[in-house]
Formats: sequence, structure tokens, C-alpha cells
Amino acid sequence: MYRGSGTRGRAPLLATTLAAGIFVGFVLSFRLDEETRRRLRKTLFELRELPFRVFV
Amino acid sequence: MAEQYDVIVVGAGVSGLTAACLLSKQGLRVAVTERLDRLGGCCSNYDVKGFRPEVGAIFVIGHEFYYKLFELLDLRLEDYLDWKVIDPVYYVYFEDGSSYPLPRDIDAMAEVVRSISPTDVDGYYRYCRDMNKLFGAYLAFLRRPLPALQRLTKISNLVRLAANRELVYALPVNLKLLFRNMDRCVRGYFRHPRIQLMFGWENLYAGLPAHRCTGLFTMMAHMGRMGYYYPKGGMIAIPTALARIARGFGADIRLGAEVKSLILRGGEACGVRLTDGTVLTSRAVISTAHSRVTYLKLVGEDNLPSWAVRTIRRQPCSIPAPLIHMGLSRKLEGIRAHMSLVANPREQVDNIWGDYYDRGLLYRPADGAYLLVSPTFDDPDLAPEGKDVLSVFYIAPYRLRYHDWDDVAEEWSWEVIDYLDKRCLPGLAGMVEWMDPVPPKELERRLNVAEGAFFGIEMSLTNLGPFRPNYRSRLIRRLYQAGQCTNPGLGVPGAMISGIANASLVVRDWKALST
Repeated sequence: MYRGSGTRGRAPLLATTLAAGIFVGFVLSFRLDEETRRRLRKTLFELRELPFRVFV
Repeated sequence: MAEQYDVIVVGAGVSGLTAACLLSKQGLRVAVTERLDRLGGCCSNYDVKGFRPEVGAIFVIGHEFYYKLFELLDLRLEDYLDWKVIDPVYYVYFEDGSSYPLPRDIDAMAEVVRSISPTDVDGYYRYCRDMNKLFGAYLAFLRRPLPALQRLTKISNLVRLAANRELVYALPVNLKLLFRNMDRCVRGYFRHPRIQLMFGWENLYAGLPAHRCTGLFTMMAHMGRMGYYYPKGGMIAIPTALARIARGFGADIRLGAEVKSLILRGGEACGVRLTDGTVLTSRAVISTAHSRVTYLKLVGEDNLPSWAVRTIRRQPCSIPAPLIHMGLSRKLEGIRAHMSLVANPREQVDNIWGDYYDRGLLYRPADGAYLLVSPTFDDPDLAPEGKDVLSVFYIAPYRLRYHDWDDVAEEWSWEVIDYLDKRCLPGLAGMVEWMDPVPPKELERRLNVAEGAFFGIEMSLTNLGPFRPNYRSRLIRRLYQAGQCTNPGLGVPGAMISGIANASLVVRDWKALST
């Protein structure tokens, strides 16, 4: 199957942007107050649980 | 020798009895087993020395729905239940000593809003307009004739029932409320903190702080304008009526019959084993217990995949709503409504969630907010002649970090009573003839609800719809689930809807179940 060279060419750029986003998010998370961090942790926990809840 | 039935319903609460009524009307042999020696589960009254306080549910909303249920049963509601509308809906005591009735009439309520904050009257009427759109969609849904029971839960029928012009009008409001938290919704309508409190404390019923509760609960305050109802004889009148109907159709209701475990054969539920050794077999089992009780206790962890055990254990419960029940030696003059709210500033109540609830700390009584319920206000027969019943609901964590509820419940309850005596009900402490503190742990022991959460699984967006336990279990075949832990969620009508849905699914599956 033919694959355009564009996607392959852009892959390092996408990976770098993604890594930069994760890094920026990680750094910003240290600046959140305790309450916001707790809410964020709760939201992430809920998102992780969602797919399993459908099958109970 | 095992006794044989077509369907066994575990729990004689409102959902279980609704399912039992509908299934026995279809000609199925139904047995209902109840652990306690009284009907109703969380929707019940108990009797101590003639005082009959509510166990959990305290009023009924959307009573039009009950007519629909009786339509399915080909019976007349008036022959079984006698309602009284609750008016004023609430009485609110503020921290500065001022107090206001919240009347049922929309314009009378507008005058109360005007007396506190004239600039919020416009917001109030905007709020009423939005809520009326939602209520209009609900009423239009109820006006449609229902299809036969076995066709009721078909997606196409549900869409046909729900799709109406009013729903289209209500859709923008619906979406706005669904995806915003309650705190934000209330602030969108009202500016004055006291008005915000009057219209934004019903998150207590969802068992969540306002910032984590879906904005749909903003509608609760308006439901009071549409009518909160109270059955004559107390909330137990509802399960008693349902049990009478179910028995009339031939159902076998057993009180004091605790289920020890479900009997499984080849991954299918085919009966129950009671604690006294009795074995009841059936083609389907409907469990109305909390999903943790159903799966982890009745089915057993060994019969479930490890991911399911983890998920069930982790699904968050709503807050416990512990209670203090009191029998009073004479009529309490200070009580001016069926339900009263002893309010504190919003920030202070919010702090209970953040500073105390999540950290497992017990707060000072002066920092809390309390819902006082006096069932004798609308039905004096619920207490001996000349006496009164009062129940106090409050928010408290299930696990205390530094104490055990069994050790501190009584002392803390007296502190709350003293606080209420000083704050708004003078003479209360001296009138207490009988007191029954029901902290979260006791609630769990009495009602068999995980973590004392009689509102079931929490009503946050990630625990609604497909993320609540399914009616038709996907883990155990022939096991069905009803009650507040399933859809649509908490409340007496919510439990009833789950019972109807269960009955419909069992009837639909009956051919497959019979083979």
C-alpha cells in the first residue's frame, strides 16, 4: 500500500511537540495548589476507570 | 429440597417490589427476600415507642411518575396511596438568626428572593423558565402511552417516548446543565450568596460537593415548586402498597430472610442460598443491593475476574448521610415546615468537604449544615399524641482518621442537639425523650449499604449512564441489577424506574431464560 512521505517526514516534529507538551504539563503541575492537584488526580483516576465500568 | 421460582428478587426495597409487582402480574412465580423484618429498605419508617422516623427517603418528587407505574399495573394509585403536598418546601435558618420559608408558589418565592436581594429576581425568573423547559419535556414524556412491558426497554421505543418537541426546546438547557457543575450553574443565575445557598444545596442529595456535582441537580430546587409529596403513613406507605399489590398477584415476600450467597452454575445465576440454609432456585435473580454487596459478597470475589473486583471496589460511593433521630416529649414550636435547613455561609459548608470530609475529620457542630425533617408536621400519627419526631441529616466522612464512629456518635449527636437548641430550636435539648444516633457505620450495618451511602454510587458525570452498574449484568448471566446504584440513580422514582427496567428485561429475556 502506498504511504505518503509527508507523515513520516513530520513524525519527529510530532513526537517533539508531544514530548514538549508532556514536559510543560509536568512542570505546570508543580505550580498548582493542593486542591486543584487533588481534583486533577481524581479526574485522571476516573478517566482510567471508565472503560472498566461499562462491563460491570 | 430447594424451592423453585421463576425469578428471585433480593431486597424488598422500592425497586425490588416494583419489579416483583410487574413480573408477578405477567404470571411469573416471584419470591422476594428481605434481610430486615420490615419492608422498604431505605424508603421506610421504623417504630420505637410509637415514634416512627424515616429511615432514609424523606419525600417524593415527580409523583406524576407513580401514576405511570400504576398504569402498567392496571390499577388506580388513589386506591393505594394518599399524598400530601409539602408546602412550604423548606424553611431556612441563616446564621444571623433570620429565617425564611421557601414557599411552593413561584411568585411567592419571587417575593422571598426580592426581600433578600432585589437584583436576583430577574435571575430567579430566568431560572424558572429554564427549569420549566426541562420539566415540560418530562411531562410530555409522561403523557405518552407506554408500550407493553416487554417492549418498554427497546431502544427504538425509548427514543420514541423521549423524543418530543419540548425535549428539543429543553436540549440547550439540558446540555448546559449536564456539562457544568452545580456550583457554576447556580452562580450563573444568582449573585447573592444567600440566594445561591437557597437554590444550590441539593447537591447533598447527590452526595457530592457542588463543584463535583452535575448541574442537572440545580433542577431539584425547582422540583420543590412543582411539588414535593409525602405519603400518609410515612414513606413506608409506598413499599407497603407495592407489597400488597405484589402479594395480590401471587408473589411470595419473605421478611427476615437474609441471602448468604448467589448460587452459580456455569457462570449463570440460578438461585440464592439464605443464611438459615434454605435454598431457593430460579431462572433469574434480580439483586437490588449495592453493587459491592451484590458482587463482592453475594457472588463472591472468586467468581469474578480480578479487573472487575478492582473496578467494583474502586467505584466511589456517594457521601453517607448520617442521621440523628429524636422522639420529643411535646410538640416543637420552632418547627415551621416539614423540612428545614440550618444553613451556614456557603464557603464554610464547602470547607466541610475539603477540610473535613476528604481528610476524615469530624468538624465542630457550629461549622456544619443540617437538614431537619419533621414527618409529624404533615402526619401527626407518626408520633404518640402530643409528641413529635425530628430527624437531623448532616454530612460526615465514613472513616474518621482519629476516632471510631461507635465511640463518638452519641456524644457528637448531643453536641449537635445543643447547637440546634441554641441556634434556632430553643428548648430542643430538654425535650428529647428518645434519641437514636445513626452514624455512617451504623447506617451500613442497618441498611447493608456500602460505606453507609444510601444514595448509592456517587452521581458524578463519570458514574452516570453506561458507567453505572448495568441492569443486565455483564459479568454473571441471568443476574439483573436494580436500585439506586443503577440507572437512573438516586431517589424513590429512580429506584422504581430501575425496577420497571429490570422487569421489562426479564420478560424480554424470558424465552432464553426458560431454555
